[in-house]
Amino acid sequence: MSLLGQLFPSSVLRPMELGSDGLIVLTVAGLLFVLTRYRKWGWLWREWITTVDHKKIGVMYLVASLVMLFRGGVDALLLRTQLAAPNSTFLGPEHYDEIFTTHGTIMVFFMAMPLMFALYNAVIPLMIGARDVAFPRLNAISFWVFAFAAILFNISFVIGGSPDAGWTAYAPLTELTFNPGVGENYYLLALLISGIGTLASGINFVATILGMRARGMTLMRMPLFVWSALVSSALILFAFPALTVALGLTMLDRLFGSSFFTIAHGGMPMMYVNLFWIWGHPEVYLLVLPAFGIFSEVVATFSRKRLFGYASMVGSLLAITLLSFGVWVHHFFTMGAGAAVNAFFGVSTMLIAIPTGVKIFNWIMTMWGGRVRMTVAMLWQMAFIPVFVLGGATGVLLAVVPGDYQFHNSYFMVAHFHTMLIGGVVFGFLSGLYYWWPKMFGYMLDERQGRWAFWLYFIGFWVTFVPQYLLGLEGMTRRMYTYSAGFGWTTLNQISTLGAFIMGAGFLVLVFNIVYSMLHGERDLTGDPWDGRTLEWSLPSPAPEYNFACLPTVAERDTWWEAKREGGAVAARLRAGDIGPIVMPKPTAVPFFIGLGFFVAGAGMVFSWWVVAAVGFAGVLALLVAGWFDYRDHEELSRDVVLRAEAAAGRVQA
Amino acid sequence: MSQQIVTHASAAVEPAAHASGMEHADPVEIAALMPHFEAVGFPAKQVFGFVGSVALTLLALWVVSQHRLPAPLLLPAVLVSAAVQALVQLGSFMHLREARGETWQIPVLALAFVIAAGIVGFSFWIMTFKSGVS
Amino acid sequence: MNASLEAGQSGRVPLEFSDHHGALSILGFWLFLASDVVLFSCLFAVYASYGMRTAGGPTPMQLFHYGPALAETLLLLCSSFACGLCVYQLRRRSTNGTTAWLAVTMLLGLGFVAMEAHEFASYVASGATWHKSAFLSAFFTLVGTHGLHVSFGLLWAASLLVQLRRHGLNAVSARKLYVFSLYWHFLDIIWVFIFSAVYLVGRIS
Repeated sequence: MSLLGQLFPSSVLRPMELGSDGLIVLTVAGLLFVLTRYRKWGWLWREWITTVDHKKIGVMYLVASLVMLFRGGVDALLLRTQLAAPNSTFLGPEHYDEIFTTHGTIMVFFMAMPLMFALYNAVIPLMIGARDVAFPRLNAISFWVFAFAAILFNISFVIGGSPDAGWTAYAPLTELTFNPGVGENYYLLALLISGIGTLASGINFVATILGMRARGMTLMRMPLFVWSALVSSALILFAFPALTVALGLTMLDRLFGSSFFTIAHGGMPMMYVNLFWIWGHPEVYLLVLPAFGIFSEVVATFSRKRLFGYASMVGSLLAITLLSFGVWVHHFFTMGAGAAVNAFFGVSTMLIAIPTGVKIFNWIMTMWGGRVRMTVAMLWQMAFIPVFVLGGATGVLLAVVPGDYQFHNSYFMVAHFHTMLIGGVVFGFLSGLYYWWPKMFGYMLDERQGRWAFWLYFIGFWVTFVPQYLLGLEGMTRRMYTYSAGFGWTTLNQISTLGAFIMGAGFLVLVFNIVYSMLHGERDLTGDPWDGRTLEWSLPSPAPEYNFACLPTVAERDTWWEAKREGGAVAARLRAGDIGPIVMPKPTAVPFFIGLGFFVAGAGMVFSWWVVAAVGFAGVLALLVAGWFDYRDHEELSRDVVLRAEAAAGRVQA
Repeated sequence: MSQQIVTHASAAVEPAAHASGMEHADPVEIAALMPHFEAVGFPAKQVFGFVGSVALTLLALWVVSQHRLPAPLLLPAVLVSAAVQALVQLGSFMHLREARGETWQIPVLALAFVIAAGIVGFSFWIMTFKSGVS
Repeated sequence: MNASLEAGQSGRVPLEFSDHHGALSILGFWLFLASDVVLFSCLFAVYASYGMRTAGGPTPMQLFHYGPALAETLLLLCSSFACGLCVYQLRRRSTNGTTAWLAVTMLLGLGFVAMEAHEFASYVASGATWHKSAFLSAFFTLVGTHGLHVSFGLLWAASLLVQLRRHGLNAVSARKLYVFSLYWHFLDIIWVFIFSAVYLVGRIS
């Protein structure tokens, strides 16, 4: 095949893809123009690309995640538009396959995961009273590896062609025989590369939380969000290798001719499914547990009450974490693993409802008798409870094996996991975003606009997914690109599509809310706009680069709340004599180039350009080895600088 | 309990702080994870690990090659000997109990081995039935 | 920085743990190893399910022989032992002893990789490629992933030799050496399972 034919097969020359080409070129040109016109290149390089500051890395994760939410959301709207009318020809069948594949993949790997890391980076070190994460450079490497993997995945639809085997990419559909072209290569390489970044982040946050807590912050004094980040990061350590193996074996089959999933050579496609879900189920929990942590912080703050049942919250987190490794077969009950296997995994799945129920009751009991303030963050928290209970209940229905034979692969199941992932993960992360936004950026998000975004999104959610439960019960299966008018599914599909567009409107209001607030929003001058309970609110907003001029000592849970009650406003004031020089990690461009190296290597592998791939990998290896010889990755911030900054913020005692 | 947030200057990330305070009294919250640094005497642990590993390797090889056990017991015997040898090497070579603060590697590694055993065991269970029917 | 590099000298804490941040790196590496345990367990799970699926190609019984497998095992075990003595010399603050045992570790490791490469090459030459059967795919991937880990470790050890020459023993180089030793011992433990579950089990009919 000619090079041009390889890069631009017919699937990327459809009007929709060509239109996207135009928009991408315009956007990039616009960005380049603005950066050049306002002389921002140096700023971009110094302040962002070479930064190792966890707070800035958090901001970059957030921006990437919102861009990906846009892309995944547009994919969703295209799918819903196609399904709004029977026998629609808006998208062809292949086009539909490609778009549901990229929708799912982007939403899980390139929207939800980075949004989680955005919040970890933004607040975890602040909450535990640390000056940075355990390995700041590794943290930057994680980000850039993720970012370049996201770019690699996202260019597939305009260069070379999209993957089209679903976000789960089951073998043997992904084998070369059944799926020629480079689309699946993009999927495999992008996810393998971003998996490296994810694993590094997991290690980083476990080490940070275990090893860098402030004096006196014992395990049982940690804020719940820190607990959830700890167990979720531990889940990354134990779950992501299974994904790496599942994808790696598929890649070896496709690119290097092994026979893992080739039935004629003794391979078993079900092994892929098995490995994928060994990762896949813990993945769901590693996304939703941080959301649980956020809810626990938000509900306590806005009820002005200590979290109800702290120990049972921690216990249920640990229980969910352990159980999550013993349930994965419920994703493929219908593949015929046998009655004993299905019974075992069905029961273990139902068990998860118990610790989750404990958490729901604890959140409600925290609000009980509290003075509840209905901020936007709190609205997301309250909205989550009914949605998650619905999702949990339908989940238990799906765990009943004979029932699953009916529900499996239907819109009932589609509606169920969207209920969990939107109602749990997205609601949770948006709640956290509104809650911690002032800490991240120094200004508040406008509450009135936030309410609009919330109500549009919340109502849109129900309008979209309740009809999908019903469609599933009426027999509509997932991933079908069209249906006949005679099936009687038209009205419900139209309602669902309407709901999707309402959610889209909610997203636009959210973006408007961010832009408006950036320009006109109320500045957070106190550092503690919500009357918070945990250590991050003891710092100015945004926190200085070294976070804590003096490292705090913690004597109990909700330490900042207690300090304020007993010490009043003086609690945060420092004595000038206590301030000393601070050792900070040096900025470096190496992480950026490691990401770039992986991108080059990945692109080379996608198109089987082995020389390009070798150059990319050699570059990564060279940067790693060079890093081994670098013994000076820290520099000292002098006492004067720290003292001046703290005095300017009015935080030093006279 | 006058003031909950007491600030102090001896920042833990500042290397200088360690040079002066040689006590290294890292707080350990969980007594079972108390660290212990190995003494610098004769490397007895290393020698024990090496000799033990060689012995276990040869024993397993001998049992299999000479069919010293009934056939159904051979596989479990080999796997058990591997597990024992892994424990011997973990204990004698790998400085499991050395850390600053808690020896978190012990519970983390234990969990990893439990999950690993679960993955191998469950996968085998799931997949053999499948291959039996197909 | 010098003060901290000397910190362990008089204290009860070994050099590699003297710096708090260095100790944290060691914990981070333990976390990576835990994750690697799971990675290998997935490859073992695949091998366990695929071991009999030879699709008319060579069976484990035909392919594997005790001699080479035992030789590889002993090479890697001796290398792991040498690495243990390297850390012992590190604790005695002997730069020369550390360097010498690290070199022995590398040489034995190199021998292991060479033997394994030769083994793989002979299988491929006899027509037993990984394309042939699911069993061979699983075998080459499991053992090959371990081999790649060992090869990467050799590169790492080589860089440590250079660093020891350049910096001698200080808190940073000692910590790097210690972390490498964890990696190296860990790879030998994985090999124990490969030797048992692949080579020995393959000879049980």
